[in-house]
Amino acid sequence: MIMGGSGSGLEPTMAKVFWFWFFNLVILMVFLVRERYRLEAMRGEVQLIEREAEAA
Amino acid sequence: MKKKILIAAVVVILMSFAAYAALLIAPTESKMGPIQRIFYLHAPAGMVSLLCFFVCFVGNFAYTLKRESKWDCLGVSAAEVGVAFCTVNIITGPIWAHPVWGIWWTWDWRLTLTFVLWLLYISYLLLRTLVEDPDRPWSARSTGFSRFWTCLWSTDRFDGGARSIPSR
Repeated sequence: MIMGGSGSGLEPTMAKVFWFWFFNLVILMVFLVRERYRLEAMRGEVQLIEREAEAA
Repeated sequence: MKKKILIAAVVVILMSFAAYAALLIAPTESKMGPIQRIFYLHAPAGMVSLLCFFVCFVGNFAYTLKRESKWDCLGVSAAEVGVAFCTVNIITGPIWAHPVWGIWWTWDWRLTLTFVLWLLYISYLLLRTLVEDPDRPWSARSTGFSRFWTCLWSTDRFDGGARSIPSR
């Protein structure tokens, strides 16, 4: 049980480490999604240019 | 480019410190022993994967309404990262469960729904690569999101599975 009422939950040091891990992984997630988004947007632009070149 | 390297370096430093905290700062759990330390990676990875799938839903929902490619890009990016985190969650779970509860896997609601969620987003990503028209994998998007909610619901509703077996 990570969260709960009184008498439940993680030991305080364990909880701190757990939330530190969580926020680190969120930062990693944002970084990865951002980079992957840029790549996908670039791929879309390349596809658009390809279609325009084929149509011309 | 320099900014990207700087952010990557900060992420690496933070992750290194997180690993140090999990291995050396956090106390050893009395019943499970050192293997419990995998929990610091296992549980947050599962939580972050659900966060990614939520972002994927927001991206796909916005794309359905506005038909702007940026939302589709956000959806697929979040789905890919979510699948990566979900894979970490699914791999680390059995590594933790076997020494503690004596089983690698059990087909309880939570584990099964997480596995189905993982498969569903993999199928969504596969569909996207196979079909040229980005509107087509719509069914995978909507069912994926419903599975996301059932996964959250099962975590709350069914507190059983491997964790219901007493620790060794």
